[in-house]
Amino acid sequence: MMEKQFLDLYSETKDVLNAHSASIFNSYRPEAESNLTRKGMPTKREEAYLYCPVFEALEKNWGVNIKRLQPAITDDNLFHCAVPGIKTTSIYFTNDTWHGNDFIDLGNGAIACSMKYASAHYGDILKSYYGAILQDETDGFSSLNSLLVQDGIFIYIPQGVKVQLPIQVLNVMYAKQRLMSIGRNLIIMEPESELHYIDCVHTMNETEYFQSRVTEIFVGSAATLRYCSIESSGENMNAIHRIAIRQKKDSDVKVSGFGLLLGATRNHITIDLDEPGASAWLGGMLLIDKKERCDNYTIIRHHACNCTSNELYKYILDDSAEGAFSGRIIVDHGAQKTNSYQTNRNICMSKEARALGRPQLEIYADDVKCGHGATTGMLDENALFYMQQRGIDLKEARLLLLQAFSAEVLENITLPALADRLRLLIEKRLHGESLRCPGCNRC
Amino acid sequence: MLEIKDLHASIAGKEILKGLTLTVKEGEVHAIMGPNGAGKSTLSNVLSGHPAYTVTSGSVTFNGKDLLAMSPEIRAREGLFMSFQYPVEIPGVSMVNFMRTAVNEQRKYRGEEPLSSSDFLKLMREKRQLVELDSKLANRAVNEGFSGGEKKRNEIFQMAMLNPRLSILDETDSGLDIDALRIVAHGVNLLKTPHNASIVITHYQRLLDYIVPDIVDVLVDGRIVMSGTKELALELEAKGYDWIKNNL
Repeated sequence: MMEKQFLDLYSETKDVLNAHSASIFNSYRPEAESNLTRKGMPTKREEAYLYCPVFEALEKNWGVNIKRLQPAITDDNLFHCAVPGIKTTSIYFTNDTWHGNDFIDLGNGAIACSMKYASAHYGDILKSYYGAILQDETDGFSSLNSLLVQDGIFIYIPQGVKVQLPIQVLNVMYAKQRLMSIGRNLIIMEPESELHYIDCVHTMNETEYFQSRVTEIFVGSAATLRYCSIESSGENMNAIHRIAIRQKKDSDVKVSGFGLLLGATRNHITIDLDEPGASAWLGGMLLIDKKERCDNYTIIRHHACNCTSNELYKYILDDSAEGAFSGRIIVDHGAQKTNSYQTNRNICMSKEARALGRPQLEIYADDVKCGHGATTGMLDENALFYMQQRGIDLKEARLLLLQAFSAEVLENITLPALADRLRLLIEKRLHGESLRCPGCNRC
Repeated sequence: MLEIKDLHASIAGKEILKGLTLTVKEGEVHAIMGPNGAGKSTLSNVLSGHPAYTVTSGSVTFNGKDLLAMSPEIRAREGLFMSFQYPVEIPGVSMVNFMRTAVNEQRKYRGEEPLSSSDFLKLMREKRQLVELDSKLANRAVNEGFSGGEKKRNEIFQMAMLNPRLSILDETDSGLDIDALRIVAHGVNLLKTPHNASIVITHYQRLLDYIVPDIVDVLVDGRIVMSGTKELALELEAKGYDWIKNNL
């Protein structure tokens, strides 16, 4: 009965919750309540949740910031985060609350604002898109999110608008008591628009956190999206992020995720290629150790012909870390000339580390090119010896191999400065150094 | 420079070297010849410190130091170089990055400053020409997609970059056509000085037409059973290894 505390919280605080919320969310709560009451939270017995690492955390009692009280920020550097070499439009979130002015004009009619602001000013657009991807999803985690969510990010980019600066969202967890933060984001990209989006997740102290986020993204025809998420939090963090993307004709999407420091994280990502010519790249890395656990659960559905999808996930797991990857690719009857490839490569640095890979291809069309490759192993002993024979010590040789292992994923990061920053963070992580670096307070 | 005394070594519990004794002096080129399974590759792997091999008894001193007590990278920094029979492909690690790391780690060991980028690239360019290694190869990942001949040339290129005291060429001629063989041998000969030494391990006399040895050592069943001048190689080629075995 993990859901009980949340259902109770809802029925006890319904009015306050609604009063402090973006109004768009309120009408969806009764349905979420009934779904959650009926179906409950999922369990590990369900195949999709076999390796989901956040269940233990859900058993605990969680506080929710229903009255939207802003935490007092005493640390001036809290939001001081910048990727050297690129300017970004920054959006700051403390837990699930937008920090500062919650409307940003991105130019040429493109906007970024809070869901609260959007509910008041863009109600019509919001209504036609909100929940449209997830309308049939009665999954417990999504229901929990719909039941209690109060705010999030809304981004709208009109036709043909190429947003010049990347948007960087800084999610900073900062509270004195155990806290569940709940966010709901909606990104709408009209045809031929372009957006770079960077999502960073950090914890500022040792308080325990549970972060539930749902992000829906509509990518219009011939639009281009680059989405990169970086988690550098801590063992006190539990996170579940549901990302649902729908792509129209000839759109081009790259979604990447980097787990550098975390507690227990599940990224549940679906991409629907709805119209011909769409292409999607989905990938990322985990560099985790100690008892960190992460589950990347992905589904790519090819509904139309001539679409391309590629998946590339690489994990480096040390100590007793656990990295799970599920990659389901579904090619519908009509999706001829589909080109799809999935790769999952894992390196276990210790005997206790666990890599759990599940490639799943479901192909219902007959003229397609699909494949997958999955490997898990230790570092190549022969390569290590070869490097040692040239005078490179074992530690350095390992590092060179691990950096090489990472390079393929970084090649898909199209902002050079961001790729450089990630390369640096990965290097620091591999050296076992703190992830703080010059020019940035946190990541 | 190198003194091997009564060396016994095994792999996976099987003894391969059974009391091998060999001395290599400064300025010498030794050719080690022997039939399949005699222990030629085991010798080069044991000398360079491959972790799969266990030394059960005997001693090896290199420049007066106990070689067997050193890790593979320290042996390399002390000036021991092995040209691999099967050079390893290392996808994702560029030749430039690999060589820069190796050269600078060796310099650090000798208490020298790391090479500047421009000096390093100059050195790369200079040594590359020695073995006619295409500049494109030098920009690629280590050995990745190299042909057999290119891999061997790359070994000699690395040897030139690292300027070792003692180089062990493990069947460098295998998989090489005559032109590549000539280029590789030419590189090795150019690198020869009165202060360094080489051990050339080979099956066939062919390579020795190009790299002329001072001493030919015959390795049979884990021991050096005969040593002689370069004429010994020709005699071996004519009479076969059975001739040695029958004489034992």
